[in-house]
Amino acid sequence: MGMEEYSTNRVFPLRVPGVFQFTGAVATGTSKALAGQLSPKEALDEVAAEWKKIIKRIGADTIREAYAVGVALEDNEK
Amino acid sequence: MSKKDYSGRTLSINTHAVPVMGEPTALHAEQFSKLTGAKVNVVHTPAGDLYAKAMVPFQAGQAPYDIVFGFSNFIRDWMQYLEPVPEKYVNMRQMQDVTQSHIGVASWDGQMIQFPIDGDRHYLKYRKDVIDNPKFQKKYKADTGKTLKVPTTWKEYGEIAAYFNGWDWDNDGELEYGSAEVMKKDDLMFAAFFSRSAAYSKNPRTPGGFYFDLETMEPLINNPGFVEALNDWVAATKYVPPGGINFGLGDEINSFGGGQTLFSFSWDDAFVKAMEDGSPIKNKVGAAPLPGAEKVWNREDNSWDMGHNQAPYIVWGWASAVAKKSKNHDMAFDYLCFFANDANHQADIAIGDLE
Repeated sequence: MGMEEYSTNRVFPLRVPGVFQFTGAVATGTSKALAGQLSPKEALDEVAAEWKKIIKRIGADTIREAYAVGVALEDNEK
Repeated sequence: MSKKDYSGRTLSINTHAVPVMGEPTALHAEQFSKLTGAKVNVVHTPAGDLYAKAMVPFQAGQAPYDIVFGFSNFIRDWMQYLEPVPEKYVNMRQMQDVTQSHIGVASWDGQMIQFPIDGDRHYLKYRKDVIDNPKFQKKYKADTGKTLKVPTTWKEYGEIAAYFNGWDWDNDGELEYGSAEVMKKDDLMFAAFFSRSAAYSKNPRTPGGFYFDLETMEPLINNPGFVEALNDWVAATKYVPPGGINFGLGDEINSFGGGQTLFSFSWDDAFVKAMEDGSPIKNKVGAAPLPGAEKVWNREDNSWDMGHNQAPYIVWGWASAVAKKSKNHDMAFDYLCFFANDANHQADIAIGDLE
């Protein structure tokens, strides 16, 4: 518990507009790797490409604004 | 709570299906009703529909439910329709027990929007009767030259899981396996991947983004840290039980909780199930932080920083909130306070399926 509270190196859940599209893409891509259809690198390159499309659809500034809230928590900025 | 009089008033709640979260919601609704005289209507909704059930009316300007249950990562989408938690609840005694990181998950920019009811983290669960067993420690050392211990990296997790995969190490007449994980392509599986990848990719020397580079909004999801984690995960498909590649959370809970595997990670449920009265492995399970990694990707130097890295993953979980347009804010917050209060919480988490 202490590790978490004082850590300046944490991962928080992604909480941006379109979050389920981003996590859905991760599920799709990683599943392909687990099933042996794609190599891990190929699978994640596909996820990154999909993420870029989602960012374009929703708007980079909109997502950045929301993600900044998360980054402040991750880096435990006070 | 018994001093409040809400007779003549009705509270409506949309929650998950029974038993997970649905059962405690209904149970506490009944208790709340007895204590305050309020009529409480509880509607149960499958997990996959919770978002729409709340959001569709909200977006149409309506609030058919005073209280909505969902997942904490809905926050950015539904917060404009929610009533922020009033100061007196934020400051109450039982809220002091909620960790800062979970207050963070319930809040946006310093304002508490969701009522903390479920403090989730992913952690490692293991069989103490194997890891702490001198007989197995000796055998493992003799066979591999390495020390059998609680793994502190995902590589160690994989090595130990593979070693204990596919034989009957607890003499129950059945084969045991290395690990039970959520590998099924569903709504929860991405969390298992982030648990496995956090330590390889969240570098304290390169703040400013884990999922994206905050400045450029370049996705980071295919950097070598994440790729390494996925390499590990593909290797894991060799040390899960038969059918393990299609395990959802329920399967993981039953597998580890039923004594089938050496390890599991993700939410509490498998541990709680293992510790229930009547469990064949009660008191044989231990808990530890998630493994870290022996290296972490540095995206500025474009190389690996060698050395142990750990990055706790404050994972999302159940969330509840009060609709802004509800006409029963007072009753709704009192219900949630009652739901979350200490005594009820202890009872709820002792039943392994409730999370």
